[in-house]
Amino acid sequence: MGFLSNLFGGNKEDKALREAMAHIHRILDDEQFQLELVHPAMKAMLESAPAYDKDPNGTGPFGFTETNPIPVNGPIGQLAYLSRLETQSGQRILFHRLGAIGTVDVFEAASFNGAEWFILFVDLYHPRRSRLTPDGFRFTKDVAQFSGFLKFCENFPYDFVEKKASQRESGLSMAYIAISKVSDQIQNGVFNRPLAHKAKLELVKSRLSSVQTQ
Amino acid sequence: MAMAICFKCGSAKSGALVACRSCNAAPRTNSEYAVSLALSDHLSSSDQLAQYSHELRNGKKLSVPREALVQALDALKDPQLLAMLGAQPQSAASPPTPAAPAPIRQPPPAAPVAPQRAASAPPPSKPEPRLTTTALHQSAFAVLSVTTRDNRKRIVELAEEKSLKLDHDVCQKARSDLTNPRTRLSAEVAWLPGVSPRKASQLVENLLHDPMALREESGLPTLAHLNLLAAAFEAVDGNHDADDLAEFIMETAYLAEELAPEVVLRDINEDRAVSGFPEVRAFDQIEAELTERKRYYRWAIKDALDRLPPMTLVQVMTETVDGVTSGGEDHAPGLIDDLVDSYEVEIQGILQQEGENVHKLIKAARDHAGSGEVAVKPYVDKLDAVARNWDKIAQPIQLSSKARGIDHEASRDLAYEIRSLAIDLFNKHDMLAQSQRLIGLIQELFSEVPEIADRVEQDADALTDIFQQRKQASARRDEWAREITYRAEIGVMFKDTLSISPQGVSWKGQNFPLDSITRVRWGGVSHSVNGIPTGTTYTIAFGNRNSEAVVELKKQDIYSTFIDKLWRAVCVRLLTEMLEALKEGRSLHFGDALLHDDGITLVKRKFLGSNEQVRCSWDRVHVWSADGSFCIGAKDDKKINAGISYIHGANTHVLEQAIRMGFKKPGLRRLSELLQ
Repeated sequence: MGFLSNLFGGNKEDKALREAMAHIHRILDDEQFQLELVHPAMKAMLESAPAYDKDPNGTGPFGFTETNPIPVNGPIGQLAYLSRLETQSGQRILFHRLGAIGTVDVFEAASFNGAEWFILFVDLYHPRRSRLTPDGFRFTKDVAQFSGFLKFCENFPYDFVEKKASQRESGLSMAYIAISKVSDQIQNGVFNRPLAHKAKLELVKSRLSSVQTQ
Repeated sequence: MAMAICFKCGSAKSGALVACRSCNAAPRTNSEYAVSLALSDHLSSSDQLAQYSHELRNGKKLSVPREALVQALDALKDPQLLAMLGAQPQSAASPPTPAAPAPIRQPPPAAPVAPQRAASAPPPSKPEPRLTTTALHQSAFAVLSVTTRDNRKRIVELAEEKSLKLDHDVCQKARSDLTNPRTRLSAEVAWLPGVSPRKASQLVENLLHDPMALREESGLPTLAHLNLLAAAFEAVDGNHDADDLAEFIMETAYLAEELAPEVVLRDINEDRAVSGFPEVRAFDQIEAELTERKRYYRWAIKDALDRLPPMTLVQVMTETVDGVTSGGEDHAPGLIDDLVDSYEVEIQGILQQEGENVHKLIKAARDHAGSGEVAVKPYVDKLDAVARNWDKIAQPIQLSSKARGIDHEASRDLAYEIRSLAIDLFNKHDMLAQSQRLIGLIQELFSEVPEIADRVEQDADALTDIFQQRKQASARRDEWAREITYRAEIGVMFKDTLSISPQGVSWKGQNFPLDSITRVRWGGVSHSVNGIPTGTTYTIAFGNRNSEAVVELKKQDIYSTFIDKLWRAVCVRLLTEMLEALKEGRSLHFGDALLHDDGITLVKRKFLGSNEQVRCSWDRVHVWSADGSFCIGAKDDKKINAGISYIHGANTHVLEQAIRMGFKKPGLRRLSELLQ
């Protein structure tokens, strides 16, 4: 009951609730289960792709360029992987999808405290997620509840609460971090893109082959 | 996307670092990136952007605040941003090298653009550089085919005539530039003042066919020659020979030093006298125009350099600065100083990045120094490579700084960082080889930084001395080891091994490390039966405070050889220790005698009564050998003496050696004086 207790703050014995929690656990961690959640045709495509931690032919810094994207297992794998990342200072990240360059998805991310901003490149066409992290990141030891979206957020990350609410239909909203984790930062307006990040954002947006508006 | 304006044409565009849709120019160099970021709503208000656009469109000096550029340059240190900029596809329609003004400096006088004369790269099949147009061809004089001696009426007529073939607005602007006294001077200074109309036409034509031949032209007025050379720089492409280009830049820079405002004023007024335009009277107007011209020359050279592959650019800059300053010894022409300043701004980001790599490697080397030289060497290897790369890029700036009598701060700081590592590696970890290597590296790379060169030369000398001393000490150690090593089999039937080496003295499985031996004795006893010699038995004994090994043997050669080795390996040390003990005031017993530093206490033997202890100074005693003993007696009293057995008394031989050495030293009062 350990992590579930910590996760939801209670020692519930109710069977239905325990099952729901186990289900969420699988969404967050179980790579095979994450594949089950995608369309069968796509699942077949993901399973037939090579499983590796890093593209052996990739060039450039891992995760920071479309020529060396992070391999993950489908869209849920994207959420699971990115939600596990934390900076060397122990800050997890909020993220949203900007669009894609070819088959590589481009995400904008900001640390929970708003101090660091990133552009990350992820390739979802693989059967499992990478065990590596981009330079400057490590995997969190916390329960990696989802902290970002596969959609473009116009007012990222200030629209986190609304976007999270919109996940109810997908059945993933229970797997998301509590609003309280970021509400103070949002209220205090700590998320301000630095100049270098703005420039990167412009450049990457000018190169997107598909843009997500909503 | 951000609202921005193009750094080149001043048109509005979305995104600071993307290509302009109006002129297709995209920023390509660090300074262009910085200016472009400053010219966006990331760093400027909409009012400011409107003002910058106006300034660019009218060829005015950009009034971007320095703080905005500093912020932009700071942002450009972001590695991911730099990687993205490197990977950014350039607009297909953009020219191979954008004609970019230096940041916050005024661009060259805007020339009317004749649409049908767009610049294009020379066809690759032609080996010699050729041009289809140059900045000189876009001068108002060239556009309208007007000479400097044509009057206002003729200019207007030619403008009307040309409007039928060329863009009307372009022709009208050219007419206006030539007839308006305020703008005419700029056009005249940017043209070929002092050159006859026919010659001017011929030179401009030649510029297209064989631009580099203009370098050989003689007898041209300096300003006109410089304008032609600046245009010829447009023929430089990425394959241009580096040595030749460096030579070309030097020629131009030296020529620019000869520019004389009074000569230019005279040439212009001579033509104005013919054309009927009022003479220029304000000398400062000419000077201001010439200042602008020099900026343009620098820009033309820089533009040519930007077309070169990066390492060729660095090579050309280095050769140029090296050439004009004679290796940093002479002052460079002002144009070269300006060019170096501009280069420094451009490569600032690269140098910072390389500098950070050096810092990281220094830190890693320090962190691993505790694990030994093997762990540090890979980092020093990398440091060597990165520092060399850094220096290669910084070389022109170092040479220029040296010529100006200043230290290049970044080089100096970096050199001190490496020096600090070298010192730590030696002082804290005794890594002489790596330390010497780093000091040698600094000497090689930073010889153009006087402060470093002086300081590091002293370091290198000191380390070389230490290295030599260690080498000699090591050689001496090896020699000593060879000298003392010996091994012999003792015994007739059952042999035992007697050996001596730096590891110690061994006998019958018992080993005494050399430093542990505190006592030695040796000697031989001759045997005879009825007066007939039956041989000699030799005894050698050595040991420490607790035990002693005694060797008895018959062979004299083994005995002699071993004693010789033992003397070198052990007795010299025992002698020194004995003298040091005496110096500290201690007294040492040898048989009946008591040894002091300033003399020896002997026994006065009495026939009747008890013996008496008599202390004799060294000048009162003499020594001899008798009956297997070392004898010491008072010179003035035969009854005062002592005999110490060589074979039974510990360290008797050492004592004898000390006293005999002392007697050879005139006026010796204390035995410890032998230590001096």
